[in-house]
Amino acid sequence: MFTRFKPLAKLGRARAKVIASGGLPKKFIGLLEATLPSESSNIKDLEFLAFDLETTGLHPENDHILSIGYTVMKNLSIDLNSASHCYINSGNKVKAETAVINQIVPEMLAQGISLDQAMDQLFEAMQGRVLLVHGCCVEQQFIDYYLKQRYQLNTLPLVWVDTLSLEKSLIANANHQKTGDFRLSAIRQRYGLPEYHGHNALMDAVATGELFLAQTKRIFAKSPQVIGSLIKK
Amino acid sequence: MPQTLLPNIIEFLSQIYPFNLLPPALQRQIGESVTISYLARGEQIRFGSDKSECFLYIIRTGVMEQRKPDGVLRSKLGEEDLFGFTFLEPLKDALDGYSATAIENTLLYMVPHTELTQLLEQHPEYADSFASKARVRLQSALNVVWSDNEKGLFFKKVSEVASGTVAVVTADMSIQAVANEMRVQCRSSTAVIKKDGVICGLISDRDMTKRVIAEGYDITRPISDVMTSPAVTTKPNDLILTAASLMMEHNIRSLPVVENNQVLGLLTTSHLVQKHRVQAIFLIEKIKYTETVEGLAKLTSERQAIFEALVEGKVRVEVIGRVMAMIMDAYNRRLIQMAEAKLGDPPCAYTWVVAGSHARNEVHMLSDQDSAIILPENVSKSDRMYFTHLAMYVCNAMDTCGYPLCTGKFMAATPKWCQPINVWTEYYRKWVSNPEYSMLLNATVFMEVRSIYGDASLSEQLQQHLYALLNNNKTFLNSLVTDSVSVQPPLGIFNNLVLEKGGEHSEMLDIKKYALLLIVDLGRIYGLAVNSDDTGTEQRFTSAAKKKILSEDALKDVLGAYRFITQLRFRHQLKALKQGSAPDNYIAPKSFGNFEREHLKDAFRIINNLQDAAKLRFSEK
Repeated sequence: MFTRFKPLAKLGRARAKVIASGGLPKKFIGLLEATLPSESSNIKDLEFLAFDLETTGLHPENDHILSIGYTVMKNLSIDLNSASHCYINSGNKVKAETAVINQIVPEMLAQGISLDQAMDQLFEAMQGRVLLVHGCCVEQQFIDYYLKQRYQLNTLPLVWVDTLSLEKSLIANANHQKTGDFRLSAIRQRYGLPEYHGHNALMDAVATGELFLAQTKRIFAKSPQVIGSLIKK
Repeated sequence: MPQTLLPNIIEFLSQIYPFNLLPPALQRQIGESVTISYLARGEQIRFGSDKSECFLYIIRTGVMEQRKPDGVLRSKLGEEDLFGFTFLEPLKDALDGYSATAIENTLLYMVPHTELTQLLEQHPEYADSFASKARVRLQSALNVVWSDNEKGLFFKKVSEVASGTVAVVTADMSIQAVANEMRVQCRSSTAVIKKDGVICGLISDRDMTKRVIAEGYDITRPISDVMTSPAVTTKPNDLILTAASLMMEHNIRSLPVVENNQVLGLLTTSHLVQKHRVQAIFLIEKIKYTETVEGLAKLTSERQAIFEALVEGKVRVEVIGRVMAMIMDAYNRRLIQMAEAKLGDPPCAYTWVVAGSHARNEVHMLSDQDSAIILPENVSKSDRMYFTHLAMYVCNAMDTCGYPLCTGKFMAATPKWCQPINVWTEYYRKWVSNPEYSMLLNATVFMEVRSIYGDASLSEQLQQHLYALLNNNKTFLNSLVTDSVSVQPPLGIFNNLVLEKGGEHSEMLDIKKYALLLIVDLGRIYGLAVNSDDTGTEQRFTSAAKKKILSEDALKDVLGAYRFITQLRFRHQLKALKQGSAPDNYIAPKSFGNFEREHLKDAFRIINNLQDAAKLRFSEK
């Protein structure tokens, strides 16, 4: 009855508005015209794109994207056949301290592709899929900043699912608390998922996908697994 | 994709037979074809005529059960186990109607059958390996094996299993206040009682029932009246096995976890029953209540089953050695008790010590007996007769139970090794001051002794004496080094050098003589050099590294080599046991796979380097 106020319906209206406003570069039209899931769509029937950006820092104005990794999930399985990863060559911008964390060195970036190419690939992969990330702020901000700088576009109305906020609400429901260690590796450990030592955008995307699978078992223990309950109101 | 960007997944695959046989490029190809799926506890996979895509399943984490259509358990599978081999021709319909159920939340890596069929078409040389893995699985249908998860208990630490809640009270609190604290505040079946910050006793709800309620004891009296003192506790880093056997020994149901007088948690029998099957504990318990030597001898097959499970479960070799040593201790103690019951109470204090691999806690299926008795100084001749008889009874009975008599006669039953402490100290003095070759063997056997029964202070006294001697005489260590490095690891083994020539073991590698003992010798030398109390090889090297006479890198190297070689030896023994033949130490070099070959060469090089380092360090200056 109140579907009009549900986030997915709202997204649908936002999409229509952006398309109608004209001036949207062609490459984004498919992305926004793809069928939106409805609140009651079963997640088993949806495709997800688990992805991760490795960046030099948290601020899109000063920092840069170093690499992008993603993998498709359908039928609630992660298909590594669809996995993809690229380094981004945008000059020598690796800070020593991020190189240590990400284990990315300038030589790797030198073999990379341009930011435009990488983002085009990512947008293409996003088409018709629900976006799945762990802690979506960083990814969202970097993508928004890129769209603004490159195409003077505002935030694109896409469907996001964030394993970090899912975990927070799971814990909040269970324990009435919102504090704790919410790093991907720490949460995975609590779910008994394997420890993945290496650290790159693709591995993190896969790790996020696995965590999502484990979370859905907990969230939908007895209820129908509909996408509506996973999206922020 | 450029380099491997799925390092964790491919690394995992590359350790699993038969994928470990594939070259890295093919491992990558398989890795990148994987589909990852997650099953919640209770979820099921059905195999059968359903024509959707089929997979070979690899369990990444979790536990699954496979059942036949009639519900009969076919196999229980844990981490790294595989199922779904129907892509193999002779097994095409083998799984029809089978189902697999997750009995814990399970993460699965699934390799599409199409990918595997294609791989085997292009590389038929691997077909046999995949087929044999499938055969192993099918065989396991006959005897449901323990999953790795269950085996895991042996090497789990107390801190991983114990719960965090336990009541801590002070000795002057009233019985009622303590009961309230246990019941209401902490919901804990046991309270730890402290006096001036030091743990002085324990009280359990069972004790409350027995000592307070049943006796009608005044509940306003202080808890110290009725507590159990001293407190039996365990440490967070102890193995569950150790803790559980402590519980059995003292007939208690809960054990506080304590470190530096801080109470960290509580381990209860229900933790063990709920989570695990503790085969080794049950065996040790059975041993304690067995009344006859024949009865004990019958338990040998259980001991073997535990050894097999530990080796197959890839439990760390150090833990395997320790578990097997605990079992051997239990046999030995029980037999000493039987001997005492038969011969009457011992006429004076004594201690039964074990030596060699038993003392080092490095026991395996081939371990023989090394033992001795230490008596007080002025023991009479007739009293000594008692102990000779006792030792003969025990040593022969150990033999009956599958622990062979020592060929070198280093046993308490040999009069020479059943002596008063003053004779023992004189032995050590002679060995250390006059390390002739003929004496050295005696010396090395008794350089590690561990008291397992009786008055341990006798053996401690002897140990102190030994360290005093060693500190005043540096040439002894040098002699041990010279003796040890006279045998060198067969660096050229794969060029057909240094193999046993002629005889029953022609062209075989004696892995004990040419590798293992060399490391054990070096461990002893380094351990003695820093007066380490530890008898175990790994601990000895670790102590030496702590005292900076061995570098961290050298420590890592030598531990790696030691573990690898011990594991190789254990696996070799396991294979023999499974084929029903007698396990030995002779391995045909041809039987090594590529992986083992390279590692073995590395291990030999490491031993060789450490021998050189020891020569330099301990040579006479």
